[in-house]
Amino acid sequence: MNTEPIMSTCPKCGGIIPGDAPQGLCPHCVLSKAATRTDVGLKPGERIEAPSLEVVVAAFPQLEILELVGVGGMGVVYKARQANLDRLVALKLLPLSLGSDPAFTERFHREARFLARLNHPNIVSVFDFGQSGGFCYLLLEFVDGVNLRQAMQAGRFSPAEALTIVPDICRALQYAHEQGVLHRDIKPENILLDARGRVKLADFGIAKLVREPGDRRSDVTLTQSGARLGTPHYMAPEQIETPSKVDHRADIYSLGVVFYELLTGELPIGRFAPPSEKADLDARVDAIVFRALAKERELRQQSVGELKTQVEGLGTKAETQPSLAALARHSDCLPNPWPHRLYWLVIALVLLPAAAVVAAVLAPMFFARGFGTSGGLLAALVPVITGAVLWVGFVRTRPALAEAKPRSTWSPWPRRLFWALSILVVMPGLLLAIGLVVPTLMTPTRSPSPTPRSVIPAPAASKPNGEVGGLPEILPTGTPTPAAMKWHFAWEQLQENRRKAGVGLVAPHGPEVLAAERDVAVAEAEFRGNASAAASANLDYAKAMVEIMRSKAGLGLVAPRGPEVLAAERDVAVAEAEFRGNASAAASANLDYARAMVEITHRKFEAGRATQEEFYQARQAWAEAEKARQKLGSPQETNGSSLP
Amino acid sequence: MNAAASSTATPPDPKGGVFVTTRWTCVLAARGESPQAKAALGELCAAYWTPVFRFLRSEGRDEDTARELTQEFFARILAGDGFIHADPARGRFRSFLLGAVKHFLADRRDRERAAKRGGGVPVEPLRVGADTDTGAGIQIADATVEVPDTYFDRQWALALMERAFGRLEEELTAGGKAGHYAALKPWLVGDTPALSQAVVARALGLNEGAVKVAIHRLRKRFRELIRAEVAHTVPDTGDADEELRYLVEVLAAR
Repeated sequence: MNTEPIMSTCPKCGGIIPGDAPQGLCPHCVLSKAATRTDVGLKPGERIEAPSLEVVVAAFPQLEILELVGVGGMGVVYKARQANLDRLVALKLLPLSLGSDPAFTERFHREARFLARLNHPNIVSVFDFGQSGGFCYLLLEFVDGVNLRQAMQAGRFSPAEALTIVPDICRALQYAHEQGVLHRDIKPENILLDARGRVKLADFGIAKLVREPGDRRSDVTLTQSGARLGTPHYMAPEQIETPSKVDHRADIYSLGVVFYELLTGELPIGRFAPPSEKADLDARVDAIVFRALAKERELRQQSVGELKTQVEGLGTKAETQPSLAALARHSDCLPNPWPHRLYWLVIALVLLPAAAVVAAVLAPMFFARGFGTSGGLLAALVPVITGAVLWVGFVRTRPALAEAKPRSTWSPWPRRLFWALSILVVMPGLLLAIGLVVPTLMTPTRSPSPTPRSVIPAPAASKPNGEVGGLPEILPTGTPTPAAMKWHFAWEQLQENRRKAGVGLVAPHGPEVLAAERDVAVAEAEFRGNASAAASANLDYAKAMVEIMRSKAGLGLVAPRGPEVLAAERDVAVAEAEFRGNASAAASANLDYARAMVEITHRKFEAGRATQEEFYQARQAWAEAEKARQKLGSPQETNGSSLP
Repeated sequence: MNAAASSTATPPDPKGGVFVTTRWTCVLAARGESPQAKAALGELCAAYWTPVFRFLRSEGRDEDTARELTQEFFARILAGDGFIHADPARGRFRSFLLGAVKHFLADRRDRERAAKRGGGVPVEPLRVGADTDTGAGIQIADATVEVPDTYFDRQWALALMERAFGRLEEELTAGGKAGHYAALKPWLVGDTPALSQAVVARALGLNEGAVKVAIHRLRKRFRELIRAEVAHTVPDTGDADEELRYLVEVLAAR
């Protein structure tokens, strides 16, 4: 018989295989394995409390009882043949004690009808049910195979195998849950594999049937069957604590236990290790298993379909990178990133202003060294880059998987706090950036119409930009004269106004900036003793102001012929007169303006929008303008006497 | 699982409530007298010829002598001689056979001594390594050491396993699964990491789940066959478990 090549040592016990070993296999291991009964889930020597074969044969004359194939807390199972259909069936007999209880039998019939409706390739079909010879029985599809417990004993499942079995179980459960049926007793003994390795889920709802809460029989059953009546390891916490409030998520928990056991060969008891530590697995499996095993059912996958999708998502080897995003596509199972983003925000609160300060210091330095516009851009890059780094940091925040929770259980406050702080940081930061970047970009290139580059003190040709360079050459030359000081202060005021315009405090080409430009031009003209240049600057300014006022009037901000517009026109007329050296024309303009103001104030007074005081002031101004006009000696007819 | 097996092996009876006739119970019931009992005894003797032969060889006889002795022994057993000296009403076929062999040898020694009184020729020493091997890898013990009963029991257990293996192979071959038997046989020792189911699955063209199912069945069937074999040698099927445990112990002591 020893035709087999003789192995030197036994792979099981490591002992030397004797030469006379049958089939070249370690005789002791083979025989001790054969001496261990596991086929009906019993330990060696354990007595089977099954009804005697004669009793069963007598109770089911229509069946040819072949053999006992299983014993469990929920009854015994015989393999049998239905002679008329010539098919193999499994005859499940519920404990005999239950058959005599009318309350139970009533419920049995109700539930069994429900179970018989389940029709799914991964569920063991219920062919028939009823009562016979005192037994409550179910006639089931015979699955020519083994249960998962036996299969695990025949060899540990490879991760790949486990990942193909679990989705099948999910399919069966999903179908049943859709039909409103919970399994309530998912464990390896109830998951069958047929000869082709296909999954069949057995014993749907039987647990509920046998252990209905409030049924006085249930206690009897529990004590009678003892430890064999289900193991609590597969039961969801709520199933043990409040069995009446169990829902489909208890099945998800039980399936999680089976999944863990398939992957690791162990039960998830106490502080259990992640499956990926126990087996060669994608770390993403851990998140799925841990979620299914969550103590609170709200934290588990909320449907078997969700679990199935997640497990199937793992099967695709294409995604070699363990990506949470892949997981997230199928579910909202992601760790809450917001608390982590808050950390980033706090960092941003410190870093961004610091970067802005650095930029603010750098920008003038670059200008001073003649970098010009590119220098400004360079300086502006500092806060921009800092901001970009921080943004990437918190957008890509990936907290540990262990913190994975369904989105619905996140606290919304970290997120809200984040956005509130974001606004606090981003808004001033944005303003600051505008204040820094815009002036540096605008100033050197912009030449506002009335005050072109000519107004800038640029005696030194070596400084083409002339921006800051003009002043140091004025002041150090001897004692600063009042005119030079005036020019200098006007220049500083202009810079100040332009900065304000940069951060949006005043309009870039608004009156403040224009006035400052005018002042610089006037001061320069006076410094140089060029009176006509000063007058020209004043005229340009006045003309620009008229434009501004008219456009304001066009927008309805001021009255079309209101005091502001009139004043601006008067200023233009005065400036023009002064430019031409025509003093009387200026006086006439002033007089016209004063007279118009009196009319306006009078109308306002009558409408109650001006006080009498204001009216008298206007009249006073008219009288003074009249006097000034007459003093110039150019007699001109005035028709103001008709006014009030 | 296999219908062919039901004629030769009795499925383990869950309750022990149904009386199943095994060969040894049949022999015992008739004290070897009835035709059925004679037939059953014949089968048993054929099955356990080898342990007796090996036992006789191990006592220092050459192969031919041992074979002749074995033949003679079984002839006498079948003639009903064994039942004169042993009380077979209780006990197992294994014990009965060992007792009978010992008695047979003692009886023979007595007769030999009577025949050759005065001229006692010492037993010829064994020629180790020569063509004494029967081809079954028999290990021959030192002739000077008294052969313990456990040697016989060990040989018994091995013979019993050989029979179960043979039957298992027959069944699977008949079912067109000779390849399954050859490939999955190593798993009969139990589950070990040294054996790769994935490799076997590929070789047999099955998926891993199906291989697990096949392994489980092979083990189950082998267990049934072993138990059936054991059951045939004990007076009551209820004793089979105990006998099996004993045989496991015997094999453990190498």
